[in-house]
Amino acid sequence: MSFSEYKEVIQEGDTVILYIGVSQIYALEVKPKVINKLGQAVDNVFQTRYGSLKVMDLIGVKFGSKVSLSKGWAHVLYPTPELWTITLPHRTQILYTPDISMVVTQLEIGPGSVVCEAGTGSGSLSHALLRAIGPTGKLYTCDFHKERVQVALDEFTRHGLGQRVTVSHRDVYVEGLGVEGVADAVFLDLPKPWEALPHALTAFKITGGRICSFSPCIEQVSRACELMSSMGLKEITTLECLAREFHVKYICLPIISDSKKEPGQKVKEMEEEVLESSKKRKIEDESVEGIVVDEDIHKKIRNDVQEGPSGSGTKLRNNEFQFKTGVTQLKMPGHTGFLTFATVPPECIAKDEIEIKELMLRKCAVWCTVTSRKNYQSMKILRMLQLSVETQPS
Amino acid sequence: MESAVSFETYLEMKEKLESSEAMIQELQNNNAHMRSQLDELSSAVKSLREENMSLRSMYSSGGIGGTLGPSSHTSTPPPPFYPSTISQSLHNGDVDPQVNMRAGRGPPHRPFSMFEPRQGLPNVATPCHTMDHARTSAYQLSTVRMSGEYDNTRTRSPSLEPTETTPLNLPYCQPTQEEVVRKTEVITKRIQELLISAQEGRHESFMPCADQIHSAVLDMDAIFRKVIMLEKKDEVYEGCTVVVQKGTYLKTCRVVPGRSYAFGKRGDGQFTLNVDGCLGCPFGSSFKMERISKKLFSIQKIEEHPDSLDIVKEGGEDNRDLRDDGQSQKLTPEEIILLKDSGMTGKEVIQAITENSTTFKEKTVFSQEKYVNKKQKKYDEVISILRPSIRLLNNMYYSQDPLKIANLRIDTLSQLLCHVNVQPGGNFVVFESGTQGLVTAAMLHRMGTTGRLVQVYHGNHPQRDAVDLMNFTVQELKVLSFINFTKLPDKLLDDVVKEESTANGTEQMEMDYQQEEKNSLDDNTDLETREMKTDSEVVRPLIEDVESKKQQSTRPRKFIRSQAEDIQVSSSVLRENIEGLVVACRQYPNNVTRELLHYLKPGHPFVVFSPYKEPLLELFVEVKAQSGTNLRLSETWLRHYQVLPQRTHPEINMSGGGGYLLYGTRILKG
Repeated sequence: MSFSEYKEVIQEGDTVILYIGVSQIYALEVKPKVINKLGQAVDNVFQTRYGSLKVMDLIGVKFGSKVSLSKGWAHVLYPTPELWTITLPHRTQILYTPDISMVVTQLEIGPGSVVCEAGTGSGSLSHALLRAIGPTGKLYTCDFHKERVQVALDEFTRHGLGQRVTVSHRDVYVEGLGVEGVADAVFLDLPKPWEALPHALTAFKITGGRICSFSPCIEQVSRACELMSSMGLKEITTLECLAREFHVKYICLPIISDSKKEPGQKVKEMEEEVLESSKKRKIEDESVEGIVVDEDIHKKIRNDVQEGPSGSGTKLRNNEFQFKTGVTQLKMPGHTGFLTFATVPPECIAKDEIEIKELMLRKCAVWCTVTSRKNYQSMKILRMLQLSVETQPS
Repeated sequence: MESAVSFETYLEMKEKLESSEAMIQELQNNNAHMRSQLDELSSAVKSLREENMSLRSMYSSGGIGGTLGPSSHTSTPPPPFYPSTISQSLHNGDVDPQVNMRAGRGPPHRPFSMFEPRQGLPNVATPCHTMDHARTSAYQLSTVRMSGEYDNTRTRSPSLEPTETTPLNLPYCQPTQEEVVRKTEVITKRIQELLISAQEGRHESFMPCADQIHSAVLDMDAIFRKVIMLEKKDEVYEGCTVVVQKGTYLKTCRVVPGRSYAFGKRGDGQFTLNVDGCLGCPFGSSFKMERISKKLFSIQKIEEHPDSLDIVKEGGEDNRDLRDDGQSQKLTPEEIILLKDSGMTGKEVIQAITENSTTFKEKTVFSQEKYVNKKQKKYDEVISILRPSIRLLNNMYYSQDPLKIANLRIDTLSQLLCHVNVQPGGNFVVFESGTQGLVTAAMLHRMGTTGRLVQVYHGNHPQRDAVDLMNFTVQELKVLSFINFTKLPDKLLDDVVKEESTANGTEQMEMDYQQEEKNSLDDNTDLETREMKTDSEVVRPLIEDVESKKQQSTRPRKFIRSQAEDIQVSSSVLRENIEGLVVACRQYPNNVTRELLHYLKPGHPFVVFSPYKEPLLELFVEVKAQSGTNLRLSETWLRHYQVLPQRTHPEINMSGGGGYLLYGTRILKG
């Protein structure tokens, strides 16, 4: 529930984030029982490297507090779509925050927006979209995988976002996005975006809107872009966005001097010390106590710095050069996908409407004759389309 | 094994099949029933429409609202709300409110929008004493309206008088009291029906009853939504800000009839544009520039963008015979300018240029395309009128000068907005300096009409340039309040003491604000002047817009509250504590962050933006030691691509960096 409303204290049913260390962040659902591997309902006890946590004990605890594990401690944080993105159970490849944030801004989504998403996947982007549209907006998301649809719907409901979302099981290439004339923005994460683009256009409001296609390969982008420009979409841009993270570290560099032999030996000593301490830090960085150790080192060094003449955070001491810096990751994600954005201008919608409706009408008529049982839904669509085509001015 | 189907399973299957068939039958019956109801209702709507038409023809001579025929609405979802004229006639005719409720969901047909001026009606009906007042202080009136009592007994009789209808020219109006009461009554009635049928045990009527409740609630919801939808208009209206796009060039301007704006770089590229032609056109439309005089253009809507690429025909093999001797173009620059000014279209000019180029035909097709595209950018006369958005404003500032917004690139801004978890309904604080109010505008846009956003500013004036360009409605602007960094409430002090101290300062502040408002009214270039006042250390690009220095007649009320009110609102938000904190400034961010972090609820996120990494390194260590966890220091890397068949590659130029973010979560230590 905690995604959709603000609260101070954890209650039953909330999803909370348990933060132990940079690489140990977990999303927990506060409920009495969980299903184990054998399919039995057991008490909800969460196991970490620092011991276990009885999840129901979190009820009544304030967000942001420190909680005890049996062999350590952790913090409970308020859930945000960003924290959810790094903790969610993966059912598919997911979009990460750099891409997600770009999508939300470039699609110009705000409270009250109506958004269509093709490819629910694990719901990483969906959560950010649901936050952006607010309680007055609507997200239509669909996936061709039946189980995923159900799991995603359950998840949204448990997170208190069920009112804002419709999750449907459909093949977008064949059946379209399931809505017409309502969307402000459409997001496509499909292997063949060009097959879904004509459908996507019918989903837009008469005023047009923004569209985005996410594809990992440039060939997909190329084909989608070609179709987009032939359909009359404007401001077509393709971009790539990556986040570079920095680890804040104190670094001591030994200074090589050629004067005497004695200081040289000293430097070697120092170097070893630095290496050792950095190794120690690396291990403990991940541990709960890592922070404290870092802090100690920091205090020690800051004192040194204050004694020193410069005071700018860098210092020469015992033939070594000390400074604080942001160290880049040795390995980082180098490519996620290309994001192609375009504007669907109002005139584009007006132009395509009649053609597309006629096409749909033909498709629908075929479908109706094929299905022996003339169900209500198909009749309704057929009638609606007939009406709308008949009343067109041309 | 698998083919063996037991008799029992068969029976079970058969049974299920039968039951589902029965269900389908039932649904079809229901459907037939509903259809007949629908027919009845649509005939009711038709008669009402006729009645309305006749009423309107009685009242108005011009028939302004009648231009919207039913054909233009065939594809839009039915507007779930009927303007007051219809509900009025319904009421007079003593029709059951239920019919009205359903009629509202019938075929789309909308005689009047509240924004369309209805000339005849108000004048003829009664001397509407509120009109002038409403024009001048729309905001005040809407607050009065909101605070009005919801009294059932009172609304019945006066509702018959035409004066009670919604003030027609009022830009921001709430649904009328009468409407709200009626919709509420419908809902109550439906619930009572369900209750009765539940008590009598009529199971078959549960579903229809529930459906009716649902539709009644939707109807109720719709009258409130209508207000929001009406305010966010889809067409360009007088006084709104639009983004004018010509190729990659972007500039904002306010649509005031009769006014012209200068666009483009100074010199030959500069032209003056009168954008009156876009009034009433949907945002996002394309327009052709029509020459009035040498430099002055008006605009006219076009449906299709003319493409000059058909000039490209057959090309040469490669560039082995091309020589860059400056001799290939036979036309002199003066002649080209003459061609341009003689009233030829962009395409004709490009045609002339390519025909007079001795080397054009020898170029490869790709190269010719590139050449024509380049020329098209220069000589094209097509512009787009767009609705201002954070994306466009950021692009505009960034293309003018990234330093104007402290190099806050769009990807960094997007990351910032995500990580602070800004959303409707929360309380947020933003400290912004040197980024044109872009962060505040972006956060406000993400919040809609609920929650509170406090901008803590430094210096004499709040940062709100981008906020003013976003066409925010009064409801949206109400979310935002301002407070000076020096006037932050002290958490340790008692509230009473606080009230006194604000009261003392009120008079002076009030004067400051009045001065500010006066300035902005007198001098419409306050954007530029303020820049000069506050940002002397940063070299600004020359002000392109000379025309805009002219006097401007109408201007939206900039500040919703007086400064004293703002401080009170902001202080109360800060005292209640906040769910997200943003610090984005060109100055040293650390002490500001330290100060404001106290107001942040534990477990909630904060984000600090700085164009430089070093202060954030310091802050990282400090916050980690004191009150933060899950801290990350990052920058984002953004690369654009040229995507063309056989010629896809990253853009030749890219931004080297878009600033740094430090984000994390506040925790309770110990």
